[in-house]
Amino acid sequence: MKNKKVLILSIVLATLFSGTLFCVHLFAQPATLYWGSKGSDVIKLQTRLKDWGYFKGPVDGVFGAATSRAVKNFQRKHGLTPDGVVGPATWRALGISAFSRGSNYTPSRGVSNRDEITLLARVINAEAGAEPYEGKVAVGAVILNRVESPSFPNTLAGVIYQPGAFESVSNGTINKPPSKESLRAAQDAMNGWDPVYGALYFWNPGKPVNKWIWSRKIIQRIGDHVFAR
Amino acid sequence: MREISRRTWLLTVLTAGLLVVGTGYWGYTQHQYKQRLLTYLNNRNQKAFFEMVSQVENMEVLLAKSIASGSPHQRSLLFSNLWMQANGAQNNLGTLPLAHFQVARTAKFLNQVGDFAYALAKKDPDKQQITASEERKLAQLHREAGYLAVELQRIRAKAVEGLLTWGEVENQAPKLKKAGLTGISAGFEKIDGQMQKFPTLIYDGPFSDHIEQKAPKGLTGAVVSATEAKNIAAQYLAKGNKPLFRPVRVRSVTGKIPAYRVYFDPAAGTGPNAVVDVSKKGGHVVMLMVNRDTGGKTFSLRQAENKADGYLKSRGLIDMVPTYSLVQGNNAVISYAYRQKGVLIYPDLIKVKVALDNGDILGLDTLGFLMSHHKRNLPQPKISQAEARRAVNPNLKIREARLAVIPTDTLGEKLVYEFKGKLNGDTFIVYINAMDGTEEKVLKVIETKDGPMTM
Repeated sequence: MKNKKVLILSIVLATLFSGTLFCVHLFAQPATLYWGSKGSDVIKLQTRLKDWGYFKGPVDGVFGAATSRAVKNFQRKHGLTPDGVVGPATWRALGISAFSRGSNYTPSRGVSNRDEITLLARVINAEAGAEPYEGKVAVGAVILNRVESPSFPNTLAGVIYQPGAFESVSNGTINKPPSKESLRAAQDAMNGWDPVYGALYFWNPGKPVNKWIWSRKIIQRIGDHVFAR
Repeated sequence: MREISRRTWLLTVLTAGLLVVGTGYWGYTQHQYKQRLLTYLNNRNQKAFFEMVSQVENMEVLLAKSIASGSPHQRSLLFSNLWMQANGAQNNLGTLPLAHFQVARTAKFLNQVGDFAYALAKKDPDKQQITASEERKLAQLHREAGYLAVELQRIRAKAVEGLLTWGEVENQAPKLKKAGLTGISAGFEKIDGQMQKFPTLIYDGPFSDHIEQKAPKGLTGAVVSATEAKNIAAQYLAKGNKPLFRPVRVRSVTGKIPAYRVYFDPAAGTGPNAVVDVSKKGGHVVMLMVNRDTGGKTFSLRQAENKADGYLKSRGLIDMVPTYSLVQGNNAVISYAYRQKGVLIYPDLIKVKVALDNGDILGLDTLGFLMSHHKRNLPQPKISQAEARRAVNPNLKIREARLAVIPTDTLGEKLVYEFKGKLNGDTFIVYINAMDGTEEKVLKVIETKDGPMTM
């Protein structure tokens, strides 16, 4: 009897296991969003709702009360169930469908640096999430100082994605949505606030670093990071 | 009983077999997948590397041609092409998996050559000669580009023979040593070390070496003590007569401007923290940051500007004119320029960040002002506003005009007429040099969701 149970269990397990093995790849669908969701899809949603006049709050990537109200209003206007949940139908009504995630809706004359701020905020969040505010702005400033420096790539993406430049980029943690404080720090840095006066490097002295880094001119220490030029 | 156990046994063996086969197949596909990814990455790196080498080779050739050419117009074209090649080389270098210290000087060299070529390409071939010192710089850069090209060709030769692959450089180094080969990164490191011995390059562009060594012009007054700095900082954070913050510690900051950094905690025990930098010489506030999340908008941009105006005046920062405002979320950032005898001095820049929920000042940045502010001997414009107007595209409907001083890329300054106007529904700002009537710059005002932005 016991044997049988073990046997059935092992067969079930084997099938399950093989089943997952041969499952090819999952299709990316825009996630269903609801109260409490966070991240880039929420930013996309808020931007679209703001463009169309349903949403007045900050585009912060956090699905809260104001976003929920805006979604319900939108759903009512479009004959959808006003449940405040953004599923496939609501996405479609918003003009963002499953297979065109980067759907190219752009205002007629559009340059926006909001996405750049979000990108910067992600690095700040991943590199200095536990640091004081001043240390967060400082990390943002270092990245922007690199863009201006001849020894580094000349674009924000070039600097951020330079191989080996930032640990959080190498290990993928920059893909986590940034906190409000990181977003604010990115904005301050973009607007020119620089608490480290032109520093090009920062590192955590408690972690192993390349000897070469200590040959740089140290500007100051903030929290767990040393900043240098 | 026995039969059952035999059947059980058989089935178990079968199941186990399935598992083994399944796992094996899975492992094999995973391995293949990893190999494909590695190959893909390797190919991308190879492409960037090969492209970069040919771009550096092109640079060497173009520099040689520009030295040999006698026609200013031909030279102009060669410089434009040189700028493009250098830019591409620098771009490709930035995507290669090499450590920063192995390529820093090389990257700088590529950027500087491109930048220098751009500065030369900008010259009007009919009016502006290439100077003797620029000729000397070209010859110098040509030698350096030649060195770089030859060294890169050495690495490329190995790569072509398949002796080198890109990968985890550290893991490969000992293995490579055994095989008597050097990795790509070691080659780059050697080049960079050699290039560090090249002389610095000073020319008319933002990547010139002299930009690094500028000293602040706006630090007037006597040296202050840490206690004085603390009091000044507190005064900049004060709102009415009850303090929102109390200073907790003071530290030194060595930067472009040596300063005391004063840290503040909320006076009430809860609330935002703040940081204020006060310059050691003269006790000027260089930077102020309040770490607060603003909730909601009750103040308009206009009201925020009034708040910022009052704040600057009450702190003795007078003759500042708001030039440009931006709403971001629940904050407004307002830029000010100094005004001397009716002329706007853009390099003397101050930025103020205002919370739109209660009108408090959340940020101040006077670094630009302190670096460049001094009493200027402004020249008399050599051309009238009416003459300058004629240099503007006639299709632009001009609505505002004024005299201003704008910064050049190289920290120099130029006296210009500023014209603001509309064309095809877009707003533009055009700067015409007040001395010779040439168009210096065109900015486009971009209306974003957050307010205007200039580019």
